[in-house]
Amino acid sequence: MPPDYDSKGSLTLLKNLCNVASSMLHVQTTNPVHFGSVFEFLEDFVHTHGDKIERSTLESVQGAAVNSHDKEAAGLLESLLLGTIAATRASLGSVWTSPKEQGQGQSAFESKPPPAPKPGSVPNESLAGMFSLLQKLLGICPVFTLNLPAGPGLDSEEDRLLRRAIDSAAASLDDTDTDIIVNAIVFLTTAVSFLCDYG
Amino acid sequence: MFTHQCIVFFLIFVNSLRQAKLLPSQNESLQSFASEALSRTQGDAINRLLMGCCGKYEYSTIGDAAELLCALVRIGPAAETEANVVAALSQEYFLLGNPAKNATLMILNRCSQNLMSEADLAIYLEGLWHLHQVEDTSALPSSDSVARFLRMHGF
Repeated sequence: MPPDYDSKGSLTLLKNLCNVASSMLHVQTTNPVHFGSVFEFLEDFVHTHGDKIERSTLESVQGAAVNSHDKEAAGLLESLLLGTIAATRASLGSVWTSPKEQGQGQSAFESKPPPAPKPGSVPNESLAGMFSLLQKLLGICPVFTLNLPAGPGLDSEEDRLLRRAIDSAAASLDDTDTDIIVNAIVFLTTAVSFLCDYG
Repeated sequence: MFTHQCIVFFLIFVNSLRQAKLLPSQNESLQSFASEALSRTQGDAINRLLMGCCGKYEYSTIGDAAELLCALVRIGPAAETEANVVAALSQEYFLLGNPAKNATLMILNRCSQNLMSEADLAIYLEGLWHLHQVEDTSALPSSDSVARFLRMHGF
């Protein structure tokens, strides 16, 4: 993970890494272990660049001009995150499948959407990994997370990723997998704390 | 002196970043989403968490569950929260009888009023979890173990 994306070279490196991660999503049916690597990469992305992306998101929602590198980095994070959720959707539960999800949006880095996985072809760790990732996202860049749509091309005002994540976490509190339960609890605790500041 | 002023300025700057304000329309949208999301989640989450604490979860999960449960009962109108807790305690998974139900309701009311900490709630819920581990659950409501548990927590 490049420590910054201020130079053209470091931003290109970040973009290439996202392309590699995105391409890994396409081979999951033959090697599902790659999902864990993509979630780890996303967590690393958030840990390294989340603060900066949050600041630029705040500037953007306040109507200020945003640095083009910040905008591109935020687009990369959003695109890979939503692509990963789309690729793992089969194992994330019914909350994540919706007739509204027919995204027409274009990926920030040129890539085809991952093929729809068959139910059961994705490991259960996806749900635990996603709650862990979303907890970090909400902790480090809450406004960025709040403005994410549930899928590529969707309107975040109408269909928020955070809404589905909260519903999914609440529904997962009686799962049989302890990792899923613990990660859902930790994510919900962060979400409730964040939402209480505004609700 | 100059270093001190720099540090103070830096701290104020960092704090201002953390509390960066959204535009009024965005704040309204966020408030509306937050209220709706919290209200929709509270009852369902309280129910599932209490079910887990009544023996379904692994013991090591109870501390995290107590922290979330405490946060959930502190949101929204008190009457709505109490109704959600009462509904959860009326489910079949709670096997300790009416005195223990009333005690659990009072404990969660104390949490909602910030009169009880997450750590103390975790201790109470760990006891609740242990009581649900017995094989013969039919005699639990009138058992000495439940009576002892309630006395220990001041009921």
